[in-house]
Amino acid sequence: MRSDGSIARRRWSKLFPLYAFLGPTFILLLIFNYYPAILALFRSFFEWDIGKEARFIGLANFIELVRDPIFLKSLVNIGKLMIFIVGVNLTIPLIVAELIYMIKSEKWNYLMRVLFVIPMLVPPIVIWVLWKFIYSDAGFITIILESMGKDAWIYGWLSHPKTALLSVAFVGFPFAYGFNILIYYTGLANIPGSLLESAQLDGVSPFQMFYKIHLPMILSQVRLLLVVTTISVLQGFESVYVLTGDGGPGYETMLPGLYMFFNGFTYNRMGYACTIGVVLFLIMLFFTYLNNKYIRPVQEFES
Amino acid sequence: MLRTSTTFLISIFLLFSCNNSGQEKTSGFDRKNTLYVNLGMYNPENKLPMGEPLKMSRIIAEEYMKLHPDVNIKFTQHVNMGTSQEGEWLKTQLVGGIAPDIMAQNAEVAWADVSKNWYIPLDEFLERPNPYIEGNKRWMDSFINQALVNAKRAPDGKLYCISIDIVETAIYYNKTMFERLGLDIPENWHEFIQLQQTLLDNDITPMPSAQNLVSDWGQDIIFDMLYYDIVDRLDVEPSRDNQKAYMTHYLTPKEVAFLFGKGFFTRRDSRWVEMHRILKEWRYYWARELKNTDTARLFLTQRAAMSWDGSWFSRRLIYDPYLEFEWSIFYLPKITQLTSKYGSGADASVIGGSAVQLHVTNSALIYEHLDEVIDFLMFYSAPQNLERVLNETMMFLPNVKGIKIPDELAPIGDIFKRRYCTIKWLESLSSKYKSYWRRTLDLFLNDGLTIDEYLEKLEMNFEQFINEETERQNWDFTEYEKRWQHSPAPLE
Repeated sequence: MRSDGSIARRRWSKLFPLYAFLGPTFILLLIFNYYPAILALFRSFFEWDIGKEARFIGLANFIELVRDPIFLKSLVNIGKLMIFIVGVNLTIPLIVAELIYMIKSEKWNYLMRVLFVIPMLVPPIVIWVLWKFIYSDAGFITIILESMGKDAWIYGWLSHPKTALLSVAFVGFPFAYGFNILIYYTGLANIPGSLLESAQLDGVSPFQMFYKIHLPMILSQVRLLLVVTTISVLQGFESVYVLTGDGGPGYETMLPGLYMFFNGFTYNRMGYACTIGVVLFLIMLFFTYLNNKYIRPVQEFES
Repeated sequence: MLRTSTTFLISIFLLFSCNNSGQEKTSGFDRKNTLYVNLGMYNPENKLPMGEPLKMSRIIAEEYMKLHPDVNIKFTQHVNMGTSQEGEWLKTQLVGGIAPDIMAQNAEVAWADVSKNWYIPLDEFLERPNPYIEGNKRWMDSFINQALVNAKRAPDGKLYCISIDIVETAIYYNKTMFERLGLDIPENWHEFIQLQQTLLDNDITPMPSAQNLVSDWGQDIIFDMLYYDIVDRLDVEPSRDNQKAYMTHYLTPKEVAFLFGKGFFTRRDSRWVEMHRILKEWRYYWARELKNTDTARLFLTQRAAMSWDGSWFSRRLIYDPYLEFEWSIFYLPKITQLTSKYGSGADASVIGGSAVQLHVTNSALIYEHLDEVIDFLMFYSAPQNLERVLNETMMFLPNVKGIKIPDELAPIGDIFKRRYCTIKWLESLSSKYKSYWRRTLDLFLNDGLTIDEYLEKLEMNFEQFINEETERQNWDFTEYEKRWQHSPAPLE
């Protein structure tokens, strides 16, 4: 009979190469992901103008941040954007995935999936620059409205305070994101055929089929997309940076991420920028927690 | 198990092999004899609108390397340092001590960082002769407009850059369109607005200039014209001798702070209110989408009649093979009593200045080749070399003696002979307050704020800026007060 020690040794010698292969990746993660994040937390308690000595100021940055009207405005903006983007990102791809799922022909079904995935190959910067042109005075929207004689409807879409944020939100139109469609489609394709057949035998309507069977069975996909979309909206500012340059007019399209960037590199307030980063992280953590707590797929309830 | 272990060992071996080859490469890298140079707009391979990618700076660098075989010159990729927002790349390079030795950067942006010893003062070197200019005894003397060079002195009084060229603005107009519509060059602001109304009535965007240009340049020039009669009394700190020819009566941030305390630049200051009324009235003749409209496209496709732009726009027009109209330039007309009771009738001032400002960074010290860096700068700025660079780009005028201005840019040179504006408003404030002003102005010009709301916010912004700077710089206004008592300027 072998001793526990020799079993452990055998196990370790078997697993060691695997851990060793993971090692370099983990070291890189530590250097490039964890270390900067921990450093940001540390620096958030400092007044730190890049290139100068940092000075410890305790919670002063956090106190300033909760009273900072620009940061609060950016939170309101991101809140509005999040409601809109999460709404359309979760619903429209679901509708498209359902429609594709309903196509019985294998060939057409496959073709439709490919057609919706191809736009994913276009880098986002191209889309943003394209929309920037669409919104310009020489752009498509203005020209169409001019040709219709609807001059009163024409705005400086990204310049006018009434339309700027909405114009930023609308950039993803028609919001049929290939990635989301594929995730939903995978969920739908994994619903057991027996379940669908029994529902059909029971004579459920298409709406009931969607609401009572499909939706509960793909809640894990909904949860995944909700987490991914929420985090990407909270972190993102690149689209606004490309479209408006500065989060203007005024602060109408300012987002927390962009404000963090400006504080770090334009106003030379790296410590304050770190504070914004830390608060953003806490907000993301909170949303992820809510999401995991309240959105649970039917399989989890059953178990 | 054996196979797994062997694979693992091979991987480790490969990893170390790669690492070793990397080390060899690094140790072979000798930065002491290599100068890293970023000439901004003039960087070789820079693709400017129209024409071939630039090559002249590389040719000049190669000529220099032939003269000095022990020096190697490498150009770093062109990074647009036009605004402080693009400065993050340079900041990280400077912190890491790996910035290019020569860096094109806006002096005002660099000023915020000179206390960190990131840039080398050039005063001492400018006193030395430039050996590449025949008969030159003092490098500084080779520059045409010395006041313009001195205008880039940092607040600590030192000069951290050389100004080799001059940029000026002009209103580029479609001459063919003007002739077709029977329009003349406006003599005054009143005619200027009438001209724009006529264009608008003909479904043509009068002037699609981007907001940051018009609001920035526009308010400086309108300010100058409305305050022209009293500016000598507002100027409580006479300009330094070495800046006088260029910046007579230029208002410094400290002067602004003092005058603000006297009620200027507030809602009590009628000229201030008038300036913003004129700016807002003018705004209706610009493009609707101010922030992102491609102004050049509107002008080139003849959907817009004029474009207020920097001299760099000339290149695009000169080299565009598809241009279907004749163009020319004029400058902003004077504001007379027909427009405002404060209209002085004085010619509009200019707001241009140095275009590409070349700084020497701390890398030159770190890698112990400061003398080589300065020597290359002297070589590059010598007229026989710089002339080739300027003629290739066709965007800026020379600021070095002995260079002929190309005929195409001569009219811009004439505009530059006017007096310089009284203040560059946005450059007077630190980045945080400047940004707030620009953003609030955005809202005002785009109907997000009334003039009263806007001016109230500006006052608040001034107040915070002044309080902060007074505390930081220990501003004392006693001398200003004495001069002011001697000859105060009226608010009305």
